[in-house]
Order: sequence, then C-alpha cells, then structure tokens
Amino acid sequence: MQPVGHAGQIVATTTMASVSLADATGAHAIHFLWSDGRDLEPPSHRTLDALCVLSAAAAVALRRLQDAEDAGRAIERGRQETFESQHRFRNVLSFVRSIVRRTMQSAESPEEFALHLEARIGALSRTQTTLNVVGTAGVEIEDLVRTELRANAIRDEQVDIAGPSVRLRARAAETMALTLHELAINSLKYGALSGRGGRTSIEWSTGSSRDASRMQFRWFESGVPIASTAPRHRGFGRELIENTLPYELDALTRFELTPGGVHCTVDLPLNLRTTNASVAFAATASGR
Amino acid sequence: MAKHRSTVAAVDLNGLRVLVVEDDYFIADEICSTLRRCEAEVVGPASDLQRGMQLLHEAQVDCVVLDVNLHGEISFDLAAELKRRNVPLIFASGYDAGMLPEALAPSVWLEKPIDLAALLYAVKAATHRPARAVLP
Repeated sequence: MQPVGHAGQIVATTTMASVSLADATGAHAIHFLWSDGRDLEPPSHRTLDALCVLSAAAAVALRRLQDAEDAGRAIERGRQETFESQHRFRNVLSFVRSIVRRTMQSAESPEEFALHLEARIGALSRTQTTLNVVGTAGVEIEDLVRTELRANAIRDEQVDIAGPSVRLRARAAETMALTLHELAINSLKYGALSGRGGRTSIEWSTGSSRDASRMQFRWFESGVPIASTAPRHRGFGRELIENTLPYELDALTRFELTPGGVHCTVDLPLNLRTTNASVAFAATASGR
Repeated sequence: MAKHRSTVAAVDLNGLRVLVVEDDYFIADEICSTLRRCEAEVVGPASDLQRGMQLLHEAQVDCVVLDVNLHGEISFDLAAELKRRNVPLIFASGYDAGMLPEALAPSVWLEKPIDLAALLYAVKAATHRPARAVLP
C-alpha cells in the first residue's frame, strides 16, 4: 500500500480498488475505482473493510498535499513581504536623506540644523509607528493632528479640532504629518500657539464633485498680533505644502501669512493613492 | 550651512534630454537638479506612469530615469516600451534588482537611496557620450 501520491496520481492499494488523490482539474477529491471497472455488483464486506482503510489513507494523503501547498504559498508570501518591507524601508531612508539635505540647506547654524533635523525625524518616526500599527487600514487624520500637537506639548484647549473620519495611506500620512509638524512648530514660534494670544483652528471636511471625492483641510490662525516677524523665506514646511503635496498627491494647496496668522489649506483628492478603497468609494457614493 | 553645495562630481551631460519618472517629490527634485547641474535638459519630472508615457510621446528623449513602483503601479510596461524604442533606461528603485523580469534584463538598476554620482555616470554611460574632463 502506497498512501501518498500527488495531484492526479492514481495510487494502487489493493487488487480490488485504487484511489485518486485529485481530479484532472487539480481540485482535491477522493475517487474510488473498482479494479474490474464495474460497480454493478454490491461490494462485499471484505471490500467495504478495505474501503475504510483506503479512506483513512486517502484523507491523510490529501492532508499532506494541502499542507505542502500551504507551505509553498507561505514561502511565496514571505518572499513578497520581504520585497515590500525592503522597499518601504529604503523609501523611508530616502525620505530621511531628503529631509537631511533640505534641513542642511536652510539651517543657519549647526545647532539649528540638529534641532530641526531631530524634530523632523521625530515626526516621521511617529508616523511610521502609527502606520505599523494600523497597516493598510490607513491613519485617521485626526490621530495625525492630535499626535503631532501632543508631541509638541500643545494642549487640546489651545486649538479647535474638527472633522470627519478620513483614513490616509502611508505616503499621504507621512507628508501630511510632516506638514502638520512644520505648521505646529511655526505656530509655536511665531503664531497663535506662541502664547501671545490668538486662536488656531484645524478643521477638515469631505465632499465630492463630479467624479472625485476630496478632503478640504484647513489650518487657520487668527488674532496673532505680530505675525509679520515670522521669516518669509520658503522653508521646508512651505516646500512640503507648495511642492510635495501637489506633486505627489495632486493636492491643491495654499499657504498665506495674513496679518492675523497663518492660513493654510490643503485640498486633497481622496483616491487610491491617498486613502483606502472603501473610504474613497463610500465618500463618492454618499455624495457628501 | 546655507552655503552647502553638493559634492557630486562634475559630469558633462550637455545636450542630453533626460526624462525623469519618479513619484517622490524630493527624490525627483534631487535627481532633476543634479542632472541640470551637469547641463542635461530634464523632461518632466512625471509623478505617475500616465504622465511619463505622455511625455515620452511628446518629446524626443536620450535617456529615462525610471522609478519602479509609482503609487503602487509597477513601471515594467513603460520599461518594455523604452526597450522597443531603444531608449536607454536607468531604474531607480527601493526594490531589490532581483524583481526585474527576465525580458527587461540587463538593465541598469540603482537602489534607493540613490547615489547621485552613480546616476550621473550611469546616464553618461547609457548615452555613450565620450568622456571629457570638466573642472569643478
């Protein structure tokens, strides 16, 4: 008796019967074929006893076959995951290198360079941590906002935060988190969060026009008395807002230094690049 | 600090038109400004495959620097089109070169983070420009 065979193979067991482990299409099945090619005669007790043994042997063989296939799929999945995680890791490293270059170009002193670089890498690393937890489900924009404010010791009562659930995919989350970081730092230094009065309102809404759903994100400061002392050169934050977000995510953006404080808007398309499929389609379907 | 200049070696790419297809803004900007510093004319950059393909149809290019994964889309179809047209191609990717399909081998494959000096030499080699000494 030879209980293990591969797909399609017919395993001879006794002179009376044989067992096939899989059918021609590759699907798992157990076939019993009587050796004389006829099944008109009712099987004898002896045959039925043999059938019990055969069934057990066939089930074990099928189980081994399935295990082998599962193991094969797991190995292939592991290989893909290794490719993907290596890709992600290298992309994050590339992003870090870009941040280092940009920070170096605009820093006035080694101290300022170190300070800004550490803070930016901190913001990126917080986003990576969140992304590792949520996976493909995406990061809630509100979580990005609150995490960034908390990291900079900004209390909830200092800002008005409001907006619906929007889950951002990795790249959108990273860029938005860094943008929020730059806006928060700027506001702490010169704006509404600097303790000289003024309000910061961080609000977003979703809507759709024709074929696209979008998120309108607004960072509005008001009542800032001396916003004019803020540096007017284009730094890393403005580059993120005015170049990175439009280039990578097709966002329409605006950054203004008004007498009352910073007005920044990011109009982000909600599509497969920026959010997960169900959210993008749900927003379109409901017509909000 | 603000006076920082890149230390990438001077390579003369004068007269070359290079299409850059890369979805990361900062990487695209670094590649483009490095190419421009060496006098190359940059076409693009294109942040997705559709735009990359469109630019390829619109402009005559001598070489293409191509990312592999653009917003989740793999660029091997565009790469195959370039092979058909005999346009030199340099991959710049966060993936391992092991994922390159056999039909596209051999191709120049630079792993991210990209060594910008290596990119310049690769562009020069791919376009068969005779070496010329350039003083910094």
